[in-house]
This record gives sequence, C-alpha cells and structure tokens, in this order.
Amino acid sequence: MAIKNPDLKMERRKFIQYTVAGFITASLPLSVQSQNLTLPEAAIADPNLLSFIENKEEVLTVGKIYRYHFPDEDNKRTLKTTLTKRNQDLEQLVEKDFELGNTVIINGWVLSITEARQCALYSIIHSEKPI
Amino acid sequence: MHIDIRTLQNGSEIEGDLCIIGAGAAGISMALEWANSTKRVILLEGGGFNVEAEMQNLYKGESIGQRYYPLNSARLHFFGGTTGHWAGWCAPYDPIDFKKRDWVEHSGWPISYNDLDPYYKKAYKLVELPTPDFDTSYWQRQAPNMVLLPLDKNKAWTKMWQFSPPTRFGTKYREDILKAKSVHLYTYANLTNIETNPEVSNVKKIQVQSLDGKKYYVKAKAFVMACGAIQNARMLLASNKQAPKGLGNDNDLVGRYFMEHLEVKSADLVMASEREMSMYLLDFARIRARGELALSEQWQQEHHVLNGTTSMTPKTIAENEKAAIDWFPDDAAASIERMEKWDKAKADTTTIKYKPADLKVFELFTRMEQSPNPNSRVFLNQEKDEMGIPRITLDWKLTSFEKDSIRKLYELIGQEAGRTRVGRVKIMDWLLDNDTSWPEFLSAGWHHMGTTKMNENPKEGVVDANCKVHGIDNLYIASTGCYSTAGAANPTLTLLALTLRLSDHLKEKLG
Repeated sequence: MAIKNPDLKMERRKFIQYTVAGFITASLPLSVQSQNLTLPEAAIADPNLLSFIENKEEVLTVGKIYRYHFPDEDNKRTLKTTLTKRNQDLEQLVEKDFELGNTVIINGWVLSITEARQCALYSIIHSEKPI
Repeated sequence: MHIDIRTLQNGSEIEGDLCIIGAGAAGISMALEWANSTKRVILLEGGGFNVEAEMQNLYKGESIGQRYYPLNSARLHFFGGTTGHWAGWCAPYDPIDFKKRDWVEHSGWPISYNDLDPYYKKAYKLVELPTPDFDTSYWQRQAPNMVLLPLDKNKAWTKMWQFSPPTRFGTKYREDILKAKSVHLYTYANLTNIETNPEVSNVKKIQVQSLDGKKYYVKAKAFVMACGAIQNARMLLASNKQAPKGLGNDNDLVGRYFMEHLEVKSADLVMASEREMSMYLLDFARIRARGELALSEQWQQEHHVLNGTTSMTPKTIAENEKAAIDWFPDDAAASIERMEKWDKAKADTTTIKYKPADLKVFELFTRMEQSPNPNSRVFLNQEKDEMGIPRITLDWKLTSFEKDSIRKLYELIGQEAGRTRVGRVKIMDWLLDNDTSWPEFLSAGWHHMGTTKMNENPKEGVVDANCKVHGIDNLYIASTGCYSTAGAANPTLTLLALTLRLSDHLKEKLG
C-alpha cells in the first residue's frame, strides 16, 4: 500500500511512502496505562536511525509523517505508553519487529514499527511546529 | 581452416555435417567441441575478425518500447560476437530459475538446474574463471577477510559472482578455430534464408550472402542458429518462403517474450557500524569474485517476487557513476574501446582504494530478471537492410510486477539488515511510486533473452528441451533466446552450459 497525501505540505521527497508488512496498527486505547515508564523520555525517543544517519532533520521528518498517518498516536502519552507497555528492551523490540516483518516504509526508510514510533515521539519532543 | 567467403564464386555450394551459424560465444564454444571430430563442421560468421561499421549496420533496428540501447551497437557482428564488449560477469542460474513458479506466469523450463550442472562445470574454463566453485566458503578460504553478513539463510543469502578476464572469444579462440581440422570457418557469410522441404519439417539448405551481393548455399545434416537472440528470431521470421509466418512460428511465438535483466540503482544501506565488507566490494585486481545479496527461494515464494540480486557499492563511488543506458554509445567501435579501457582500469591495483569513510553508506544496485511477457517482443518491420532482410523492431515492455518485486526486495533486505543490526535501508523515491513508471536511468545488461523460448509444448515455446525448433527435425538454436525465464544472473555462463549440452546431443544424433 502506498499513501500520498497531496494536502501534506511537504516537498515531494518527503511524502510518506508507506507500506505495511504484517503490521498491526496497535494503537492503544488511551485507557491503557503503561506498566513501565521509568525510562527517561529522551531514552524512549532515541531511535537507532538517529545514531546511524546522524541527521536530526530526517528523523524529525520521519516522525512527523508517522504522526500524520496515525493521528490516534499523535501525542506523547500514547506513544510513550505504546513503546513501553511490553516492559521490554526497545532494542530487542526493534529487532523482533524486523524479524516478524512489522515494518513501515516512511520517506523511503524501512523501519521497525517501534523505531518509527520512537521517531514520532522524537519529533514531538524536538519540534514545536505542527505539521 | 578459414575462408573469406567473398573469395568463392557466386552460387558456390558448401557441404558439411553440422553447420553453425554465428561465431560468438555460443558458436565458437560449440565449434571447439567438434574440433577433433571426424565430422565436417561449417562455422559461418557474418562479419570478419574486427568490428566494421558496414557490418554493424546490418544490425540496425528501431526500438519503440522502454528506453533501450542502440541495437546496432549492443550486439557485435564479427568473429567473437558480443564477447567483444562483454563485461565478464559470471554466475550460474539458481535452481529456482528453472522451476515453474505459480506466481510467475509463463515460468518453468523443461530442464532443471541438474541438467545443466555438469555443463556449468565445463563452461567455466571457456571463460577463464579460476574455479567452477561458486560457494562462498571456497572464496573465504582464498581470502579470509571475505566475511559474510549474518543473514538468515532461510530469508536471504550471499550469491557469488566470478569475473572472467573477460574472455574475448574472437581473440582467445581464433587460432584454435583456425587450426581445427574439422572446422571450416567462413567469414563475411551472412545468413539470408533458411530453405526447408515443402512440409517445413527439415532444413534442406541455407542461403548465405556477402555484402557484395554474392550468394552461397550451405547444406548440412543439422543446422545450429547461434546469431544471438534477436538475430535468430529475425532470421526465423524472415525465412518465410515455405512457412508464411516464418519458421518455427506456427503459434506466433518467435520474437515474443523478449527479456532483459533490469539493472538500476534502487536504495541505500546505511551501516550501523564499521564492518569488514571485502566480500561485497569490487576489487578485480586482487580477487575475481564478490558477493551480492539475494532472497532465498523460500522468501521469493512467500512474498511472490522475481529473482534478483543487489550489489553494494560505496555511495561515495557510486554517486559518480553514470547509468549504462546513459553512456552506452551508438558506435560499436566506441563501445569496444570503452570496455577495453575498463579492462585496463580493472587490472590496475591502484584503481580501487576504499577508505573507511566509503564504507558508511552503500548504494544498493539491483540486478533482476524480467518476468516472461508475450507482449515484450521483437518483430520484422518494413525497412530492409543492405541484403534485403527486413529490419527488426524491438518493443521492450515491463510490467508493474518487476517494479513491485524490486521494491519488495529492498523491503525484505531492509528487514534483514535491521534484524541483524547491520544497518538501515532507504529505498529510492522512484521505487516508492506505486505505478508502472521507470526512471530514465533504468538500464539493462544488453542481455537479450526469450525470443525463441524453450518449452516442450509447441504452443508455448519455439524450441524443445534440446533446443530443437519444434516441427523441424534438424534445426537447432544455441542462444539465450531459448531461455524460458531470464534468471537472476547474467546469461553468458548459462548460454555456454546450454550450448555444450546441445553439442553433446548433436554428437549423439549425428553419430
């Protein structure tokens, strides 16, 4: 599935190119409470992608695109809850996502769904501008 | 023995046991197999020993489909054929390439990998590869720094390529052919008609012509067309005196299923950390092999994708390289010159030096089969060449299946790179568009395949499992045109294996 939204005010190369491979949207009901929010926010919002590409703008873009296409998750609380609900090491979750094919393609990047959510959280924390 | 056919009188008749039409990789390989035979082998070459503009002109044609190379320079019309500008990349086809795949329409060869395996083991010598062994473990023993990426073999694997020097058949085997007692090489001898009996079940003789207008005739017990996939189809279609639709074309299949290998930059791989990548880097001067990433048979089946590989080139180097479709010249001599320069550069150990900074981001470059498509085809047009033979029109057609397969390839490679903590894959914009458009820089390998497709059913193929044209008991084709599917790898090694197999069949048949 490829989604392009012409209303999204972004340059061509930043359009979301979005596919789902065995991806469960997994938007949690807001009533679900996180079992473990002991990790600092910055640590949760630290996708591997950032360390690989060393390009904050690109991570912000990926995060914004994710939020645009998953408006139910477009808030800190839901993202933090979703990312920590399984009380598992995020690195392991990312690896597991890749193994199971729970990936999304955003702006060309083949990302674990967990990692994409981390980008989304990162973009909320580091960007004041709404998209 | 060599005879310039122009020295013979107009109307001369030549007789042999076996007539091989075309002296390229296939024709020369087959002739070498008969070098010590008691049979008389006639080897016909349309050109001379060097590239000549007027001979190349005979190959001119038009292209009306997907952007393609000039037909008069993508193929070479002299002794040695297109090996004159061959890049030398060799790998056997994978077992899956021969199988009927329910997600690939018109797939399935009537032969299996095992039928060709013994011939692959002979073919490697013809192209001067150091070993018939394409297993990664062999190469790791030669160079311990060739470390494999930690892929799950059920999902993806490292496919080895070996590099021929490359062998220019025209120079490498010229003396062997000239000295061979049983082989009679005629140059400047262009096939212009294949004449059969009235029942169109047996070739009686062929007509050969030189540019000066003289005509000659060759009689033999068996004829092998080895002129290349496009020219073979052209001559079958043009030989329409006894069969109005052309020889072997009762079911309108000759020229259809034209296939290529798609070659195109498709994605980037950003490494998570520094890794030993010698296994995947080109370094011709030091080691004539490298690995590329490929999807397992299991994953191809699960995800319904075509077979292909992806090479990894440091982005810093790849971004300065032009796509082949953009640099390939219209002049055959220039294409040869370019490849000669490349050969020299490859042999220079100082040419390639990878710096650590080069190994951070890799460009992922696709080599992928095209699915068999009856609408992708060559056919005769109204224009005629200097010998009165209708020229060819190429209508190369691709479908969304190819694009979807390439996209899926990188999605899956991206998943595997993520799982193994190798890095992250970024797919290029053009590939994300969910349509049938292709970028201007989409290239191909000047690998022409499928035009005389192999299938045991005459309604689905032009030749049978022995490369014999259906319905004609002494006409064979040694060509990539016989390929039922294009396979993941470049076609030359498989062409040689198929030709050697055909040669054995003919030896048995001709006694």
